Amino acid sequence: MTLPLTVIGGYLGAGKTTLLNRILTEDHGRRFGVIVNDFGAVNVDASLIANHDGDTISLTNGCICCSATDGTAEAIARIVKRSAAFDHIIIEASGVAEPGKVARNAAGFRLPLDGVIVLADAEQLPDQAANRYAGRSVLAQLRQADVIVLNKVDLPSPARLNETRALIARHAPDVPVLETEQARLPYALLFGVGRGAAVAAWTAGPEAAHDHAAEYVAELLERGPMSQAAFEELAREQMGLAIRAKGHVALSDAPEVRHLYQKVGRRWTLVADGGWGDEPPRTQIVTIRVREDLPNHRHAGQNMWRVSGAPFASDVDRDHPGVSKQSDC
Amino acid sequence: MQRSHSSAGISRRTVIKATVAGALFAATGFGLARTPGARADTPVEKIFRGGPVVTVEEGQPLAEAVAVGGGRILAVGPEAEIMALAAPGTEIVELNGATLLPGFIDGHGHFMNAPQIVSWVNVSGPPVGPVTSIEDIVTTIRTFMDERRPAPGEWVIGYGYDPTVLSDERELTRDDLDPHFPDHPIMLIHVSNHGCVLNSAGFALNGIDENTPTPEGGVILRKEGSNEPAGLLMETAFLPIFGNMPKPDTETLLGLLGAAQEIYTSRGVTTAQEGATHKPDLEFLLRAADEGHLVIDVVSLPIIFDVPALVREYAPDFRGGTMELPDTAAQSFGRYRNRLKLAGIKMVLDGSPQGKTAFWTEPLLTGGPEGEEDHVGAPVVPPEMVTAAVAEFVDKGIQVFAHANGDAAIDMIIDALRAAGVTAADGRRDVVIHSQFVRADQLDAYAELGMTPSFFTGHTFFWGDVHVENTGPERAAFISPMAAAYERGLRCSNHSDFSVTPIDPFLMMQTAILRRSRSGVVLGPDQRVDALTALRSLTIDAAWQIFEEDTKGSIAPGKLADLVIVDRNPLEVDPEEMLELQVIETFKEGASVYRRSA
Repeated sequence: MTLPLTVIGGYLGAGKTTLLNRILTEDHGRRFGVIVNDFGAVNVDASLIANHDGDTISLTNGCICCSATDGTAEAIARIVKRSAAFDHIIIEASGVAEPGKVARNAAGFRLPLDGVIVLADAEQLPDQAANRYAGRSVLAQLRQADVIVLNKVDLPSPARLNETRALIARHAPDVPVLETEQARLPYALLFGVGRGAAVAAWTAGPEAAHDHAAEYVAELLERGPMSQAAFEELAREQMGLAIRAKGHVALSDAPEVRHLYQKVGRRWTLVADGGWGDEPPRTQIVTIRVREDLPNHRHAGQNMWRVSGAPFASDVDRDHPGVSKQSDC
Repeated sequence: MQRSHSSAGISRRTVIKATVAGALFAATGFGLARTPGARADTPVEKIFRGGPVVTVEEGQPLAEAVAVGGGRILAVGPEAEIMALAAPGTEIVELNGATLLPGFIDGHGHFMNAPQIVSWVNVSGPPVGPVTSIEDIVTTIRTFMDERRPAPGEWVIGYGYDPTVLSDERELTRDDLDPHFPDHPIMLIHVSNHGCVLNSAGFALNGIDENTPTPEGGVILRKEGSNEPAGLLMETAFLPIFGNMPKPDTETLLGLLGAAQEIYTSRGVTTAQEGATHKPDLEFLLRAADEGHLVIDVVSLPIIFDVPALVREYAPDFRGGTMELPDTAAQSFGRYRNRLKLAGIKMVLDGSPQGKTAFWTEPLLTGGPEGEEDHVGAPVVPPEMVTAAVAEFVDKGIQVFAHANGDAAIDMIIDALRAAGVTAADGRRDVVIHSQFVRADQLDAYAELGMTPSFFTGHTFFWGDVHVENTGPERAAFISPMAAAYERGLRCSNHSDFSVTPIDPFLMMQTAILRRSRSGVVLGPDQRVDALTALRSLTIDAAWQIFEEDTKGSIAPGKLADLVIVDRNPLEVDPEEMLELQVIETFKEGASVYRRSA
């Protein structure tokens, strides 16, 4: 069994630890295996720790946290051995590490890369990018991101914030940027809408379902078989704004092969994924994007969305089970 | 001779029962300070005579005889004078023309690799191992297995596999191994430590077969005309195998410590360094020390990444920030407990030059590891963290040992020490481990700030040709510039970075003297040093670097009787013949800890 992998990178002060703390402690119904650089920095409240065994902390929300000071390879190996206990693996890349390289090293464990999320400090980023020692690493992190989280946007002056945005647009064009404070982000945007039935098994439901409690929209896109060129054009037109998208694709040039399409930020893959079995070939993709009535800043054509910092756990609307809970997007 | 009582003697004989938690980072301190000297009435237990005594002392570089007692050197001088000290029961050690030297001090290496390596088979090419052909590999593994008799199914692990030394001019494959070793999974680790060759049993245990895709950034060599793995796995394809490698438990490791220390004593090394000690390693070493397993001194450098965890465990009541230390932390450093000492904290600032992961100010001529243009490498930690950590270590009086190969990484540690207000007058002796691509102006800064380099001259031999290619002849000529450092009055150590290269003081001396690559290119002829300077960097100056020059590093009254007998005098031998030198016997505090079998 393989687990999707997310690498979280970003320089000092960008908010990686704050984000990881939320993941490890909040009641989000997902089981993450998280590899961090140092337990101490994470500093999880003792009442949320179910068990602490040497290199591993088990949390009451079903997540575990492994310290990787003995080498990430060993830590990944430990989690992969227990892969049935998790839905998703997260690796924290250290402050100057290139998250793309961390992701690639994990590829050896046959962990499909879900995405590289790089956090950036809205106030400090321009200085960090100009730092004599760290600058190259900071820019490499931005370049390797699939989604950039611009954190602490409440701190800089408007002029400084625009300077930071322009820097991101210059070095990481085409990467969607989620602007927030205190690393507050809807899970669905980072990791998909959670466990649930496979997209292929999802037959009913409205064309589009808006989860009004959250800041994102999950939509179902359905089409008949088409050529790959036509699909790619459709993806550009219909999913350009999507932070994430996932589903099966029916290609007219290879009618018997079922293809899997996945997109996280600017990264997308289309790979053969078995046959259609008894089902008629049909393209069905769930897309997730930020609600368009939220502020959207555009720099050099790049989408930068301000997510308001609504409570982190609210992205799964417990009272209104809908589309978002039933896909595995 | 000083009359002070040897407190080292007490710590050596008394297994201190204090709990670890009460000793590290706490007010009670860890271990006891060693001071020079011996009691005036100490009986003379041994007298060494009959060959040159190379003391490495400024005033008296050569002597005829040495008297030893109570673990200390009691007297050094003319033979008649020393023999007059003999009493009934004094053992006379006849050198028979061999040379007596101070025990060597490991300037930097990784002691915790030793217990692992002694349970592995050496399949390296010369001068590290015996292998020049695929047939040699099979024979070497066969001999190893006949000796060790691993149970069927038990892993057989080899190290140093290097296809470039094989006369067969091809990679070793599983087909070379399978007919001979069908019942044991075999893993031969590549000399770069970035890959391995497996036999079929090894592939089966790792679940790798013709259906296994090659991961991005990895290599799975396939058999010709097939998708079946041939044997070699590299980089990302090797990582999961490395991650799943069987790890010996503590009891097994303790049982291997005797053989592990013989790697050192058989080369005359009486002080080893554990130069990147993780928390579990430190716990193991504390136990090994307190149970009396250490026959040589082990100098441990806790690695900075584990310092927060160490503080949490050993100083649970301390309420400070992530990289802050209790005020009493310094009392855990600089003192021995049952032959274990914490010397300072190890920081890692960059990677390795041959792996192109060091951090330089100027780009490499050959691009990055993946052909990136304008490649200067990268730091391993953010400069802000280096600055903050160094300020804290300076404030708490703890010596810094910073791994830095490239000049940009070296700039980082110089900047951080300067920002912390350090000057040479502080006498901190902060060590820049490797200092390989140090610039001349940085050596001036070392002098100004009281810093000291631990060089790695073996690189001129092992990777000298690679450095010329990557950095150009000019930068490569100044690699580990020992002559330039001594010209500025700096004191240096030299090291093997065991197990990156073997612990061989004579190889270290030879490379400091010749600076010649495998292909015969001399890197920086002006940086070659004489034999005595090369020897100082392995003895008295290495002792100075870890604040032990009062008790170690030369043959002088009051110092520990850490001694080695070598068949020929390394100061007189032709450097070309240096690798032929043989250690005959090694003594730790007067006791024989290694003797060459006849």
